[in-house]
Amino acid sequence: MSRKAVGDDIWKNNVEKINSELFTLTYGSVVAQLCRDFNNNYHEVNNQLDKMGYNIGLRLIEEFLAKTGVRRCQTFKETSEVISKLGFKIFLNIQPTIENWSADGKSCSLILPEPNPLTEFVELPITADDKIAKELWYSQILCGVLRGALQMVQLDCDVQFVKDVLRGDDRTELRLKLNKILKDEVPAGED
Amino acid sequence: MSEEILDRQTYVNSRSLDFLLQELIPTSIRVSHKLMNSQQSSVEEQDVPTTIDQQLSSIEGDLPGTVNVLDSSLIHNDEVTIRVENYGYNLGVKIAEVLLYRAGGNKIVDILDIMKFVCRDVWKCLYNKQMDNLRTNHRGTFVLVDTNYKLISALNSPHGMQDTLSKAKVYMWFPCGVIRGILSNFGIEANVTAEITQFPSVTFNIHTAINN
Repeated sequence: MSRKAVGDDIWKNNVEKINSELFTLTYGSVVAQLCRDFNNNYHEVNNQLDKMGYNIGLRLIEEFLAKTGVRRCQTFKETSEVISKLGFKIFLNIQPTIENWSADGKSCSLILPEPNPLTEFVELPITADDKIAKELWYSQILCGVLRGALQMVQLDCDVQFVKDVLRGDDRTELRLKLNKILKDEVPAGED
Repeated sequence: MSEEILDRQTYVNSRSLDFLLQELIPTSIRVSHKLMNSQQSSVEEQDVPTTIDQQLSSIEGDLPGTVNVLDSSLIHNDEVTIRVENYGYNLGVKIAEVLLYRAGGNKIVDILDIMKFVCRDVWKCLYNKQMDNLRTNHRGTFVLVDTNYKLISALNSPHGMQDTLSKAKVYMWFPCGVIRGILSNFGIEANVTAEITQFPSVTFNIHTAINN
């Protein structure tokens, strides 16, 4: 079975589902409240979302591996496929497209399809200055999730947004870059 | 157009929401901590990507993947509980109308219907199950029971049940906020509290000024 078919199959038969707008609204409440709490310091908001995501990623990978039974990837290209066709599919029911590979095969872009469940019905407020559109990465939590989850499978990666439809860009684009593959460490007390 | 949007149904994995909700409390503590110590700790002026060995806040031992942040004395501080309740409240206000539209058939006439709506439709949407029990004294007080409340059912402290209960308590402000938000959308001022009767069984006490 192709990766896509596996992802579709798990999504269809092996996932407990909830209304996506519930998820959208919950996430929206979080972002809005953080903006209020930090008095529109959007860098701080991005950072808090990133931390939330990172912690989620550390925990989510276990569930991901249990559900998919996926084996170690041989190349980073394969990893990116797994992230899109299995990871995003199983948790958010979307499959981002992967493009824009660098020559060394170590970095690529994930293009999130619209509407995506984090940003559906969302618009950034129109303000006199365009501070919010310049500084806030509304879906920053995803970067944290990916970085955290990849860290747990020994991949040290940079993950960041470069474009966001909410900011008026033509598409929502995440940049993924492999820094290095960490050495497997044997847990203390085991040989 | 708007009808089409509401009629179309899309889904995400319920675990995604669980993960998000579980992070609400640590984040609330971090935010409160940061705001209360804003004189000393500098406010970030740029985006800093999280890494595995980076302190998430200046709270002791608050490293990624740990739950040490819950040991902060702030956990039962009003700053934190109000923030958590607020997350729930905002969500409740927003989902009430969407859910009401979906519930369609059931006519809502009096406050008991509204409570039934919370027990049935709201809980079903949030937790894929209904409330297990609903009681009222007919003087504006309602008691709702969920015998296996999902948000806290997976919590387990290494320091034993006492500690689990004490930390689970702060999580309960979220559903309390949701219920208060929904009631307020129906124009009902209510006071909602929760107690964990027998872990993970939870009892919500709702006090309103309405004589039913």
